[in-house]
Amino acid sequence: MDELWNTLRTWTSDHWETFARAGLVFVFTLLLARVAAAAAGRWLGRDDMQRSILVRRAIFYSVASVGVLGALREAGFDLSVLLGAAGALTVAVGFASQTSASNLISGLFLIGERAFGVGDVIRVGTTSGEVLSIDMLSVKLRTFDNLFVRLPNEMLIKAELTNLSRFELRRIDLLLRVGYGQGLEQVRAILDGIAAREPRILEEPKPVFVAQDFEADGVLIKFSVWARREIYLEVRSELQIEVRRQFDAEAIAVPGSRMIFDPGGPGPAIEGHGGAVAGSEDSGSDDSG
Amino acid sequence: MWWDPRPLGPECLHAQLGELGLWIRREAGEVIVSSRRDRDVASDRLEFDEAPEPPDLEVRRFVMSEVVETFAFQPRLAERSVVVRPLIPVYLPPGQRVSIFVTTPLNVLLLAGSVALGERSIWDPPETWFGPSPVVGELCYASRTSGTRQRAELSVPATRAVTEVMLENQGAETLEAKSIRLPLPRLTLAWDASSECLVTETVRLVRKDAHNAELRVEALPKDTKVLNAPRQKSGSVWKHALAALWS
Repeated sequence: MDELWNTLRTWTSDHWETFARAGLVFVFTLLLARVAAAAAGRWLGRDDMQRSILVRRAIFYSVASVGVLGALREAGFDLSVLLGAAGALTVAVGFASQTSASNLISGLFLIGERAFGVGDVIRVGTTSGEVLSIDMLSVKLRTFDNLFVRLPNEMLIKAELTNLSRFELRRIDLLLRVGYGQGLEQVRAILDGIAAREPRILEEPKPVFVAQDFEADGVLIKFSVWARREIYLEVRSELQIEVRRQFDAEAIAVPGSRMIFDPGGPGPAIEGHGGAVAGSEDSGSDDSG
Repeated sequence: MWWDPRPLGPECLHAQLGELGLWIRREAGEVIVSSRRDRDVASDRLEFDEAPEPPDLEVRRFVMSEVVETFAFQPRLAERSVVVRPLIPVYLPPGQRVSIFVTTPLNVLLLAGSVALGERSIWDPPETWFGPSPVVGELCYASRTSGTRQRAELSVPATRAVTEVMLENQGAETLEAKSIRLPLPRLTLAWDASSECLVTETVRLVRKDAHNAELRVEALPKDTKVLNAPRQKSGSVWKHALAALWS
């Protein structure tokens, strides 16, 4: 044991300068990498977080790799042997990690395509959430119930992806079913009035009223209005509440609702099974867009 | 002038600016701003008095390190462009030039002494989109106007500013001006003592050809007093696609 210790001490004392030099090269290039990445981040600004993160990482890892190679060279390693071994290792690792390689390449395509960026709200399959980061192998989301979701890049390339933050405006579609006893003109006037009184519903593009289908128990109506993306959910909810309130006030019969006789009231009241609003398109998405 | 600073004593200061009602109260180390929007109030109503706060107001407390002696309501133009739609569409034959006068409601900047407490709109403006599609365009406020051609015919309440819009058709076809985008963030708000109303620069919209238009902001008349500089500073001439100014 003493002999081993003495040998190690002798070897270290003979080579300490080499190790110190290698260490200095490594630490210096690591600092340089950090400074260069931070400077690039500041220069790119916060407008495009995705591009900023990507460029910062690329600069940091490139400079750090040069630092590692420089440090190894200073320490006396033969880099040509190391690079040859790395080539063989790459082939072996490539075969063993096809999924990771696929995710890596998919990640490059995703970044190049720029279908979404950090901070955007996207929907993939049944998952909706805000993009936290776009990494080499996966995209990280925060869902609206505050869960962390990791989606492999390969899956995003294959699946249908909806970016809910891309455009400034969103359309709100309400699907309503009204009984055949109601005049559609009256229903249309009520809906147009609601849209006109709500300042957050855009005047242009104009609200659209479409009698979509004749069904067994009533006429299916689609009423579409536009609003800013940021207040989409709020306006949709307010609109449905107001439609329900106005339909109740105007005694618009809604199929599926039970009509009750109210001897004290001016007309029939509606005791709803969910009320006037039959549903809204896109109602399944739990997004705040 | 109604925007001059008013003394803020122990009594509650009440301001009715169109549909926006404001109650300002001074407490130890803070200013309490309560507000209510009442759509039944006439949009040109302008009143200042001392009145206790009614219930059910939206209340904001501003903590101040200095004692506030005065309070002011500084008029400002809206922070977004306003889309002006004439009640009757205007048609402009080739080679014609016409001036119309339009009024737009104001915002007010609340000033406790010299400290800005934020901006409130006197109106609750309906939003609209101005552009050829829901993807290309700009989010604006909507306003309807009768588009008076004679300045003298226009009654301008104190809660609105008047803008002269000169329309010029240099194209070969008749131009239908169903709506015009008035770039209020690029305009100056000024007081015109001769007409006793708030004004902006004259905006000149020139239709060059079938696809292109030009927007020029003329200089303010000399006898006006500038109250607010434009929010967006840029040159006085902008070349646009026709669809960006007219529709």
